[in-house]
Amino acid sequence: MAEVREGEIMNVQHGRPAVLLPGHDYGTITDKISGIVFSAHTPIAWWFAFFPALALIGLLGIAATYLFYQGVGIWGIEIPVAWGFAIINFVWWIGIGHAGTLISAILLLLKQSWRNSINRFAEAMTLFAVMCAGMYPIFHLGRPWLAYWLFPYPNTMTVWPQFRSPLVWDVFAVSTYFTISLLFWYTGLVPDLATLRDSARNRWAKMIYGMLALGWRGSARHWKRYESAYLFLAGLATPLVLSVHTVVSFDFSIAILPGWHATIFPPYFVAGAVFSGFAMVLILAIPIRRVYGLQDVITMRHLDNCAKVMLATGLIVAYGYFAEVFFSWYGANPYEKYITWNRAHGPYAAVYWATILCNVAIPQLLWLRKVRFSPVRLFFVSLVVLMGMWFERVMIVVISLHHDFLPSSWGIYIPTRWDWAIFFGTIGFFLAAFLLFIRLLPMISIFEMRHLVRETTEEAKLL
Amino acid sequence: MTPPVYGLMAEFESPAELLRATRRAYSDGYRRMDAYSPFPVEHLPEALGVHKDYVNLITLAGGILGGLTAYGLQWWINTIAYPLNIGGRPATASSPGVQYAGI
Repeated sequence: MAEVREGEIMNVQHGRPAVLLPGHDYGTITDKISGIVFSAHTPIAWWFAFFPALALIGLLGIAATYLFYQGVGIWGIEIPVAWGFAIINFVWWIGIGHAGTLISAILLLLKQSWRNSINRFAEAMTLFAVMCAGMYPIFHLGRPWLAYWLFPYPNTMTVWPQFRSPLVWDVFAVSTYFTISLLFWYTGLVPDLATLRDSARNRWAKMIYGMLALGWRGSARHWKRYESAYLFLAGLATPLVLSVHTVVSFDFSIAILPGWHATIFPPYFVAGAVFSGFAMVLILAIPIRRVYGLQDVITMRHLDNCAKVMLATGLIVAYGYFAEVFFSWYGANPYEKYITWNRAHGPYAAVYWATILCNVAIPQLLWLRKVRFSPVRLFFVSLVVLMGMWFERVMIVVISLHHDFLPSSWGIYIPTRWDWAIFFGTIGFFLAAFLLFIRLLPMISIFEMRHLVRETTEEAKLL
Repeated sequence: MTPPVYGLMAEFESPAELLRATRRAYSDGYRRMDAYSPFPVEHLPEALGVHKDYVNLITLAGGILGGLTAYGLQWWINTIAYPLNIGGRPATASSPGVQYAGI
């Protein structure tokens, strides 16, 4: 059994697995992490993931080209369901990004040292997820080449954007989010890029890492400025964890459609975002630590903590489902009542029950230590959660739209093959970008791990 | 004849030793010195006599400037440049969007 063979459960600190397993000093930790980047040997598993991802990018290219040529009519969207996959996937991807920001910003401010070995790749995950999310509203515009009209810039038409439109809010929410995430990620990378510059043998690698490292020398003055800058970025990113998905939920809740017009939406969306984001962190972390042998750096403690965050946010999401049902009964609004009934019994009942199964029922397994401490089981629970969160967005978007107030305007939405092609295409884009990141940049923060080495050795001395 | 001493470098085994040596050198009156470490060492900048950095001021200035610009632009667009009547809401009613792109 995988979970027994890992043998790291034995290494216990205050009754819990350690954040960093012993046996590392500054040198070994540096070599271990930068060795992954410098190694001429790319693990076979990397190629096995990279080629399908590339194929999916090809699919995305074909689907996007045809979409731009033909228009959004190639999708299944039709009045009354004008939102379909584009919005479902937009919300899904942007939600996934939230775990990265939460880990890097909020856990930094809360001084959670376990974040140090997973923050770098969680931030990268955020960046790529936001890129995937950002594609959808543009695809959905109908005339994507005019997307820049959403920005306020002086133009010959003397027209300005409508700042009360959720479409404009999305532009600013997503672009701010992307900018902050990029700055945060890059700032964190600078000292490590300098480490790579110093140990690179290849001339080109030296030059490229050197330019990116911005002349970092590790002087005490650098570190002082660096630490304040990093802290400020964390402070700026923290409200974004809550605000970005709140704005996304406003896209729905400012409409008067039954099932959308609810005050529960912002917290419910944010919790769902963190829920799916941690699921993605686990889905990426579990194979990576296995393939690259990083079990001593990404320990069971990390997996356990991520699982616990997932469980907690999952319960908030479950509360959101409950609150929706309760309000539709308590509010005594016939349309709200109908939407609840329609979710559970209508043509999309399967989606609703799949959501409940994946997001409420199965995550309860995380109460069991046996599940949290088994990477394989945890991986499958995370996969289920990620699918469940996708079903949830289908439920919210499609079920509310397809049956609204007027029975004569009811309709049914069925996604076409092009909907699926673009969806899988963005998954391929995400995977390929992520795989390139772990090949070309240190996926774990080297200097923060050195700091952790020091802290753990000092703790060991005290004991 | 020996050339004049340009500078002196020393390597230390642990952050604690580096910190002790820095403090000692500072109290002996040395000022033009620097310390390099592979990770941030607490109190080391202070030991070198570096107490201030301007990152916080720059961030604050950038944040205020960014916030005012973002709000001002929206206000100007909504009320002067291109007022739109959306359900009779006051023209200055602003979006609750994320309005700061600080720094």
